Amino acid sequence: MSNDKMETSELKLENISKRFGKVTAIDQVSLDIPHGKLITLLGPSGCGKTTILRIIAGLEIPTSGHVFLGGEDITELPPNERKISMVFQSYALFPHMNVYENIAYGLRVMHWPEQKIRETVRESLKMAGMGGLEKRGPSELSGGQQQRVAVTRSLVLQPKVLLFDEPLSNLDAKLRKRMRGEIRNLQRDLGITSVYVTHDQSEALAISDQIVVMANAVISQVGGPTELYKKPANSFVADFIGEANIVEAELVGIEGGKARVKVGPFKLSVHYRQEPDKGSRVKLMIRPEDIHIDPTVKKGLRGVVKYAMYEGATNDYTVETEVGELSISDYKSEGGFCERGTEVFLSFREENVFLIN
Amino acid sequence: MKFIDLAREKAIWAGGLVVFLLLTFFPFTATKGMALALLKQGDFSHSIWNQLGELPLLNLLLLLLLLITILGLLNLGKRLRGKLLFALSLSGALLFTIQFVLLTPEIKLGMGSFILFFSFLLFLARSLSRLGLIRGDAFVSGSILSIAALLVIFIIYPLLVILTKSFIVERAFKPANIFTVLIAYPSTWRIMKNSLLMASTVGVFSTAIGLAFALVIERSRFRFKRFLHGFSLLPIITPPFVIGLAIIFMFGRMGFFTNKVLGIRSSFIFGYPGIVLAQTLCFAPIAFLILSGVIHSMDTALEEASYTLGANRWRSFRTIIWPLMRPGIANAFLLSVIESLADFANPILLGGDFDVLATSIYLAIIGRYDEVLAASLGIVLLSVTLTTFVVQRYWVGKRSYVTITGKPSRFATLPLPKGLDYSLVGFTLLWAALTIALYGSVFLGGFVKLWGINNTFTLMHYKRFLSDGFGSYITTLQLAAISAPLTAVLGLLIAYLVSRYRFFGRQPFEFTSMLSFAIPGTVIGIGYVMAFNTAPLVFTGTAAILVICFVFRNMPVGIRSGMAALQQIDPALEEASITLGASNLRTFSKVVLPLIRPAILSGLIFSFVRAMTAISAVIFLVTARTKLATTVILGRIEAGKLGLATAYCTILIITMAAAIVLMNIIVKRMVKTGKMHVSGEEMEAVKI
Ligand SMILES: Nc1ncnc2c1ncn2[C@@H]1O[C@H](COP(=O)(O)OP(=O)(O)O)[C@@H](O)[C@H]1O
Ligand SMILES: [Mg+2]
Repeated sequence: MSNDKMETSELKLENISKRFGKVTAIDQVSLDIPHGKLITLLGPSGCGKTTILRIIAGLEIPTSGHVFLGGEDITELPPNERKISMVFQSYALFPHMNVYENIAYGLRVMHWPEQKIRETVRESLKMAGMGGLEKRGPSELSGGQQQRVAVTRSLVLQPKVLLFDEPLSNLDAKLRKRMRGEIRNLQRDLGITSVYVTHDQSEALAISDQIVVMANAVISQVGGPTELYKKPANSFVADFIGEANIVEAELVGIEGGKARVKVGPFKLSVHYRQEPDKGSRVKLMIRPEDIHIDPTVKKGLRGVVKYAMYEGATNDYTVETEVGELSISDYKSEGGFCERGTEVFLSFREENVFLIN
Repeated sequence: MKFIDLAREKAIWAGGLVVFLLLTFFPFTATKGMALALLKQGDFSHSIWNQLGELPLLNLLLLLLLLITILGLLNLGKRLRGKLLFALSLSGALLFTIQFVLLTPEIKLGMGSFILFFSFLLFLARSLSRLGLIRGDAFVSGSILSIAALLVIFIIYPLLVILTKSFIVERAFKPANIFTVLIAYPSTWRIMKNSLLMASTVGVFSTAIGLAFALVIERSRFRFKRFLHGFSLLPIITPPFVIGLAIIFMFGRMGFFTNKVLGIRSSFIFGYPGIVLAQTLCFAPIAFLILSGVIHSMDTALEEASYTLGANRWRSFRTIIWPLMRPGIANAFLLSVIESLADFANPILLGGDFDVLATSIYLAIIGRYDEVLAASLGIVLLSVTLTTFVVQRYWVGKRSYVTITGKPSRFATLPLPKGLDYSLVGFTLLWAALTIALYGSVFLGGFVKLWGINNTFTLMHYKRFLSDGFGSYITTLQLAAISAPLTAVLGLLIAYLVSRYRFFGRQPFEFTSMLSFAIPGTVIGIGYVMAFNTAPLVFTGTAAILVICFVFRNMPVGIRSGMAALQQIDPALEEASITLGASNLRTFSKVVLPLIRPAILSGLIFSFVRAMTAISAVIFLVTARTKLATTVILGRIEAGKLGLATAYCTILIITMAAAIVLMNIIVKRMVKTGKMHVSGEEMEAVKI
């Protein structure tokens, strides 16, 4: 594969809107999805993720806007002529067919010779670690196996784009972690352009090349996992990706590409995305793990513990302070466990505090 | 770039050629009763090629067809071709309609003209799906347009003909004419009063009895309740007149109960009491089916929640079950009312001088040869049933769907409060006993010389059946067997289109297809007689009109069972099939059809049974050549040969019971071999 192709976008959405009656499911969404990458659509339920996926698949026609696949306008192309496969939330395995027939379904549509179908299905099942299960019915499989069959059924067609609609939401937490690793490896190995929908931010952070955060039918921010976590474009993204404390602060000045702000007793120098207006009040994002808590030092931001929870790896607190309630994840537990009502003193890890507009 | 491209649009140019070929072999115009026939050998006088000069627009139609065929060969842009095809086929369909409906309505159309018209429709469908106006491929759009055309021809058109009969006087539109006609007819008021009285009484009784059975079967502790189940369903496979005959045998002048037990001779049963008893026996099962569905799908967690909140059994029943059931009860009541108004068999047999709308329409045509009066009474009957239907569908229907959530209820059900349980069981057992007695009397009535007068055993009625009835029995079987698959497939297809696709006009499409359920058989019957006896569409006197009548009358049953089955199938399955590259037709046949096989079978058997037992519509359509079982039975009853009629009825019941048992075996086997996954509700639907 040439380097040139890696950079061109395989799938392109241009100003897509979709209305169902009065409901605007998505509003003026544009996206470029590069060849061979896995893009995640992340957002709360009802924000229009599935609708975007269905428009890409051709199951819905957008009210306005265009979809391009490899440069060709496919907005009105019927779904069965698109070479785009979809893994459904419910897996949608045909209950009246066994595993073999399910996987062979699309190949039979393409009129492959039966011999070749048999070899392909066998091989792909073996690859998915499910050799010998050909004759099983979908209801005789575990959730994880059903999921693998659904993915395999789509993959054997070698689609140009593979779509996943919350494929792991029906699995328990442990299996979910494992399956997302499997999906990511498979996608990388085959270099298949993929769009992955989830409302689970940790899943999105774990498997994506790029994450598209959506809110209320529009795109909030597009970026890599680290960028979204460290430098969210707005408080919605900050809050949705991981946990965040949003704290009001006073802007003192701009200095060397950083903003000097005053918050509580501290004067901090923090990164920003857009230069803020002078003299205005600004918002800071502080992650719970970037707050240091100590009951003993008697120095810094004073607060009182309101909720205290032992979580195993961390101690989690909610602390009342003069700048508002703050959530804190204390990994080191240097100061020991602070009970409810304890007076504590907080400090921020300055380099991780981020100014949002 | 080639200018001619054979591969791209094969369906269009090959389709065009096929149509030309078919037009050569099928008569374009028809002689009476031959509308669906092939050209007779050597006689090409009805071929399209012999009519060319006579009809100016016909030449244009063929030119359009030729252009479409050529269009399929040209290598044009996709949208351009779509637009051209749209323009050509739409003008074809319109010009056809103008020529044969407006310009020359006196020409009797033959098979060839149907082929020409529907080919334009199918090309139009293809262009619509190409232009994205109907979401879905040519299979979907073609089905939608063809079915819409059939609905217009076989449901809307006959209704319009009835309306014109009574609204149009000497080519002038005078809607007030209907009142003139009705007021001039002395019995109008009495008939209307009788009909409403009958329908409302029957509605109340059927619903109450249906409810009692539903509660007992779904929620009673009674151990032998499955036994009651069968009895409650028996009337469905009962031909018309059976209940009526049984009531005469039990309660008539020479009736077993009135005469032998009470020792009186009275004809009190003929009239209001007899009709109400007969119709309640007939229609309570329908109410039962609706209500048991409602109770069955009620989530028991709601009641359990109520107990845990401290309510006792009786209070929970009153505050939880009852309110949830109310829409279902309204539903059952309204449907029983419709059925009662539309019923023809019981009033004609037991009515005496208590005449109702359905029978008066029949007598207006058969006795007085008064088409205008028949049409006017028909309109009255239709407006009442239609209003009820609309109320049922859009007011109650919606509400009851809200309460029945799709969540399957669990196996453990909570029993009724004790006092209620015992009294309901007692009542349903009594009702079952009455049913047994009635059916028993019909069964026995076929084996005695003359019921109540000469009770010696005889086989003479069955012997008579072989000479005087066997022919119509075979005809009925054949026509029912032909119409059942057509009905089931058409109903299913409509259910599929309506529930899975959104297209312009979907609501009227669905409404019209369900409409025939609300059109009483007598009204359909006179509509068909009036509409299809004269050009341009002449079908009367053929077996085809009977099949068509069966199909369009019974279609709503197929639609309903199809809808119910489709509701249980995750639409994602079909979408998965399509994103895996399958066409809509392939998806329908490989994914949808196998999954709703039980619904297909139940639709099949239902339409078969209904065709076997139809009377009210077909009584206007049968001829000496196409006698049907039910019309023969009515004839024998009128001739006083009750024994023969009874024997015939028994044979029909056995036939239908055998068909149902056979189907249940087939379904069970399918389930057993693991080819099917049938939910409880589907099994219920099949059992009907
Ligand atoms: N077929 C439909 N008809 C009407 N509204 C719909 C339909 N599909 C989705 N919507 C609405 O569009 C919005 C976005 O839905 P969806 O794309 O399913 O969200 P998500 O997948 O992010 O949870 C929701 O408000 C939903 O109610
Ligand atoms: Mg979704």
